Amino acid sequence: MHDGMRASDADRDSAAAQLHVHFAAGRLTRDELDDRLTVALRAVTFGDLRLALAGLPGLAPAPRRHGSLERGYRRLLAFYPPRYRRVHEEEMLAVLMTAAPEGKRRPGLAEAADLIAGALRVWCQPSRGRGWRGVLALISAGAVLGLLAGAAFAALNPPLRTSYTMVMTVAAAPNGVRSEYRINLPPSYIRGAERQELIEQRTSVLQRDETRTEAALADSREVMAAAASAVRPSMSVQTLRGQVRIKAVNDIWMWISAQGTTAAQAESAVSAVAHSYIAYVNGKNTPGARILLRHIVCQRMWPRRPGESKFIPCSMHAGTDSPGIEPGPSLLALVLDTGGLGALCGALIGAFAAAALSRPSRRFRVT
Amino acid sequence: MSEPSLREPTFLILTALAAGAQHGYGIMTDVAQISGGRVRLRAGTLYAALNRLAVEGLVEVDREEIVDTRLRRYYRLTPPGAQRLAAEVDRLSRTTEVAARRLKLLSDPA
Repeated sequence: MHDGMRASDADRDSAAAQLHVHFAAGRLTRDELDDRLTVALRAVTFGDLRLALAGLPGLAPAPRRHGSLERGYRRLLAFYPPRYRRVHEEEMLAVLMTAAPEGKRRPGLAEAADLIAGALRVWCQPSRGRGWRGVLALISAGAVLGLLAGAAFAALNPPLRTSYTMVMTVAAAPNGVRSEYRINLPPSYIRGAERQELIEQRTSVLQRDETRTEAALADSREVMAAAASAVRPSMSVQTLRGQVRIKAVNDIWMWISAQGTTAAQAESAVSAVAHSYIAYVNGKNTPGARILLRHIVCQRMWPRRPGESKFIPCSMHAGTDSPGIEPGPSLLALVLDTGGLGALCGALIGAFAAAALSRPSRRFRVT
Repeated sequence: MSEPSLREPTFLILTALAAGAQHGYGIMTDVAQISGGRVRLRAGTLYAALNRLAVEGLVEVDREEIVDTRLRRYYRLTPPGAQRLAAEVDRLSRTTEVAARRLKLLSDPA
């Protein structure tokens, strides 16, 4: 080959490959290899290439037939640890190229998977005490993946949030005396068909069980139906009842609570039921026995862990829609919580994977 | 103290090298031949196994050759490698002997 002949990319690659061969064979030191690689890769003519290969036994630069296949294999071999590649890259490439059938253009999928799995195994094999690097890499990769998975999980599944509303029912007649009620029955009994009758019979004095009647009233189909349509036109009473719990606390307090996947969801349910109840009572009052709803106190609770809850009290006066609730724990805090757990799990999985990979291989193809 | 039994690819690689030093591609074709074409090692699997066997001192590099600008590295069995293979052969043959004897009894109960 004439020294003035222009060299191609393939010629430069070939010269670089040969330098690696000579390095692997111990003819070049690491520094010499680097210097000569620089010369070879910058070579313009065959004369330059000959300079890069000077003093090395008969390896004339020859054009390669399988340029794209060889590049494909080299990309896969890049997954191996550098210290391993320095010694074995050319050797493995030779085996891969020899095994490749004529006309093959790129590495197959199974072949690629096998090389990557092999690379992982070599990373984890304790060669000269440095196999721990692969183990560490896998553990950190697992931790990072776990962190991302945990964060994504938290972002997509915020914990259940509960909203409570306490409705204080103070019955007052126009003359300042408490209104009269007569019948007090457990809510389970009051629910349903007898509700209307009960409301019409409310003439007795406010008693200890009075709020039970009020609770039953708030839970009645009519109040619930109005509340459901206020939350969302398409919402069924059944859905709303599934979210909302109503409980008589004592003789003046009634609790309405709701759970939702977001605080906003829980609060809209609770607020709708409370306001629907107020509207109903005020609309149905018999003359002379008016019920005044003094105020509504709302609270929020985040059951983040069993046994832990955080109440944030706020006051909400009857008729107002914006309760002015304090914000709860931010989504970021939850993401960090779950992400941390995910990272821990990921690290564990990575450690197990590393342990499995450093064991003898069980994978081989059976035809 | 008994060592854990060798996995099939490892066993076949050591068997291939028992015939003498071979390079990577030689081991691959030899393994396919020994196993009657049943086991075809891929390069990634082969070299991961060779690396481990070298770390364990069961195989070592014999020599290097450059053929058609490609590097060929030959591997050979070390004395501990040969011992390990012999122990495995011993173990396997004892097991197969027992199996054969029992199968014979099964087909010929008298």
